[in-house]
Amino acid sequence: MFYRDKLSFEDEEFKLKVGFLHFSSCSGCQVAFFDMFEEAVEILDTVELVYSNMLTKRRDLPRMDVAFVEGALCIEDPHHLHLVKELQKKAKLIVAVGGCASFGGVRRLSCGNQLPQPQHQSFVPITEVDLVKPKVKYAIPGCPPNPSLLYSFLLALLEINEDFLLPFELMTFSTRASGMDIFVEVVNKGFCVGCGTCSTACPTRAITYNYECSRPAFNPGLCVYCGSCLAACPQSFKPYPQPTYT
Amino acid sequence: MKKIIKLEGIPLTEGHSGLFLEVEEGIIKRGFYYALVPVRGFETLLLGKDSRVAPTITTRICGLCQVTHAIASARAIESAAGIEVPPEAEKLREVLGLAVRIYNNLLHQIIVSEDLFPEKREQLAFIREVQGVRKFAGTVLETVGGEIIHSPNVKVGGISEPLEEPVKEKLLLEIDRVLEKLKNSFSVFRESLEALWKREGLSEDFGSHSLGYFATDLYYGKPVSFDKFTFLLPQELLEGELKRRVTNLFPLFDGKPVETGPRARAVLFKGYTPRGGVKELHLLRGEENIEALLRIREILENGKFDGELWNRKTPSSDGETLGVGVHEAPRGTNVHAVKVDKTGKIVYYKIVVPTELNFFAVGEALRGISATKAEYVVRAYDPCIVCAAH
Amino acid sequence: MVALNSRFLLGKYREAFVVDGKGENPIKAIFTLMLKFGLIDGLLTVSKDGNSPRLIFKAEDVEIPVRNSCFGVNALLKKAVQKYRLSRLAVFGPACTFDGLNKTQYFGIGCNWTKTAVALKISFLCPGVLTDTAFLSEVVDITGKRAGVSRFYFQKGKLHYQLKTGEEITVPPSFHHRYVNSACRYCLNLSGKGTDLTAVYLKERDKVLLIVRSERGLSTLAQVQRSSPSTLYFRKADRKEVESLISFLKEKVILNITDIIERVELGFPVPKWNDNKLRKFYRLWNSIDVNSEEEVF
Ligand code: SF4
Ligand code: SF4
Ligand code: SF4
Ligand code: SF4
Repeated sequence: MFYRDKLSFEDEEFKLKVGFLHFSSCSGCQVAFFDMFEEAVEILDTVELVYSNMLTKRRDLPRMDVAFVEGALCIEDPHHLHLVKELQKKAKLIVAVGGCASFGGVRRLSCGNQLPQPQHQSFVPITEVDLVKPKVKYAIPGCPPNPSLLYSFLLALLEINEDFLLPFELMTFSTRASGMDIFVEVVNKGFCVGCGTCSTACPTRAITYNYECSRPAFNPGLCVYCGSCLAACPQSFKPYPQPTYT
Repeated sequence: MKKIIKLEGIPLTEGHSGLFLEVEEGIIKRGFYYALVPVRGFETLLLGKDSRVAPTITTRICGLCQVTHAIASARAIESAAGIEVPPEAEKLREVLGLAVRIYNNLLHQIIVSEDLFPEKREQLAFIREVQGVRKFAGTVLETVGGEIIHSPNVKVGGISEPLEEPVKEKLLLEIDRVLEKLKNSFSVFRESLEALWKREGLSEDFGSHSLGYFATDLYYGKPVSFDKFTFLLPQELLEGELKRRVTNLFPLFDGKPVETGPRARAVLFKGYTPRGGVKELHLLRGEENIEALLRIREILENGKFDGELWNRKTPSSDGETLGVGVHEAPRGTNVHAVKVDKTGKIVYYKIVVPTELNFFAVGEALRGISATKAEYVVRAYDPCIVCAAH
Repeated sequence: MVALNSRFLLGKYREAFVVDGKGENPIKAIFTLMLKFGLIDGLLTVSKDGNSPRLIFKAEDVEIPVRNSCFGVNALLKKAVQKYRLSRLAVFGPACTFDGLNKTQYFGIGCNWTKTAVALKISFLCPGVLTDTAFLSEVVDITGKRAGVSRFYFQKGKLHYQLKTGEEITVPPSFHHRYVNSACRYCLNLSGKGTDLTAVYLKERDKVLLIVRSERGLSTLAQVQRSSPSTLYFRKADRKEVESLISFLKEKVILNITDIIERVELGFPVPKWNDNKLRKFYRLWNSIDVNSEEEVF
């Protein structure tokens, strides 16, 4: 299953229909797309944006090839239940953008009981919703993912660069992410080389660097469960062959 | 003939919101505007947490005007725990706040450009121009704040990173060019706004109301007494299923609904006489961008920020003192209130955001206009629904 | 078949030179000149003792690690790119630094627009890195005396340390293998594939063997040479010099591969998004029918 089938491949006029929708989010992930600045304009020109609450005038969800989804689903919100069903029907392929949609993100902390709708208590990332799970092909870490990642991802998606896309596919299978991963998955398993990439990648600086023992240091209170640290760590997955840039 | 119209999802705005309109002969008699995104519970999820993480968490209330929440939150905790902030840190925070004002207001211009430009080509050209300015605002946010969206450098007690002179100079060097670009794009914006008003047959005072104004400062934010806010629940105000669906509160200031935002700031601090109507909101917002950029230049030129900007004292308080943090966000006054206990844990948190304050103003502005034009009023307020249902 | 040949151990390269800095560390000289002539706008590396990362802007501040201790280089990457907005950054460190950097460039995860920010990547041939505490234990194990390590180098296919006492010792690979950072025991990229240049420290402080891998590396050297013709002297490395290097790598990599095979056979866990690279390597290692053109690690 992919967004374009064999036939449309030869079609020169093919313009990818993309939509952008949000569940419970801060909109930061959608804004991060704008933060490609001038490049965003070029991209707007090469794809067909069929849905976005900020950029299109549609009220209903049209059919689309790729749906970029941000935010976690609130299971007490009837609108979200409706939206996820629509999403399942209308989108050929879904990309979970950012920590909230991919791993729960900062929504993992929510406990509800706030006016005026105290019943909004429970949030799940869309990678945990079985109805759409088969269509959620990629998950992009970050809170928000930075614009250059989104840019490279869009290009890879347009070119169907499997080499680039594979890790993001793997990420949809783990619905949990946190700075603890750096310890559990890398340090504890004897793979940490002490390069410091994880601390650079952390958007909240929950991960810092411990120079005494040349290991990352994790401060859980600041973690927003975005998955950037493990995704950036060279020991989680690497691009092969090694790219060089000139 | 009296009719009730309920709209859900207002295109070309942030988030998921709705309108409830009582319409007679096509004219709106009463209107409500409200948020329909779920309550994420930032006020409750912070309880029991170390207050030092609050700016990092609350910035994630909103991805459009991120840093305003981090600033208001840090200031609230500082005031609750009596932490002194280095004055240069306050200045840099002001810079961040103003950068986000430009960054966000221009995003709003991009969003409404769908309305403004019937020609796709012109629209893209406009967006390109505006993005050039946003890029600079993004650079300021990234350099000073650490990231474009969700600045990690805003800390309780100050700013975690100094701004060295050469880095500052680099920013200053760009400002003139950016200012030129900003002025150009604003005049294009102004022209196409006039054209839109003509095209749609909108009057000069389209969308006016008679509410009072509320703001605390022109650029940064001054303390305000939190007791003056009271809140109405949607359950008290609305009917039917909306009681169970609307996710924002309706705050009153001094018991009255008010408008906050660029016009409020202009009226209260620049001696501006409002003409009424929503067109001037667009224009005042545009003018604020230029003023904000000039103010950024002024602050950077007159200050040195290469020393320690962070008072690292651990926050601690008696659990009773209410600390109030105010920041003048792009859309108006953003207020966080917090109580911190002896160990530095948060025991009370309350947030009032500008869009929440403006819900009444939008409702009032809808009165008397044609129901088919309601969305123009909503868009002019640049509502940020995620903030409103924090 | 994966074989322990030059291609696998040292990777593809264009030229190998012995560079003489006439009294100065040639790598340090290269960075100093590049900063002086504006060929780069910053250098990201670690302090001389390898203990803390450095972001260097001025020619007179240049320092580079001379011990095989080099940690946390990328911890300053975000500052370099997002705060100081460097666009012609040079980076110096062991191969794994560049795994992190290349990955950040390729995907863009975590650090904005790194792709276009780096002008030069120089790695050093890495025998595995150690922290201060590990150095101490290792030296006591080898010599029976407590002494700090001041620098490392290669001579005749062997790893050597110069101690703070001035004494020079040979480090037996089997000892070394037990004291290095854990991850270095599974590393198959000691020579820094994926960079522009790889420096191999030699006995003389002012000489390095420089492996030139990319066009960019070559043209950078030419530029440096043009801007200051009498600072560095290049001589093509002879076969023996390169071969002694390969013999060192072979010895170390065999130890590493043994550890990898043991790991896989014991079924030790790997990171969750890793796509099980070690097992893939294991299969490759044990099969006879592999396309040898394929770049594996
Ligand atoms: S991942 Fe971060 S930026 Fe994206 S919606 Fe969630 S909180 Fe906002
Ligand atoms: S530690 Fe940082 S990068 Fe890792 S998940 Fe938490 S917030 Fe994200
Ligand atoms: S990114 Fe580097 S320092 Fe961080 S866990 Fe991975 S290997 Fe260790
Ligand atoms: S041996 Fe490999 S993993 Fe260890 S420091 Fe050297 S290059 Fe990095």
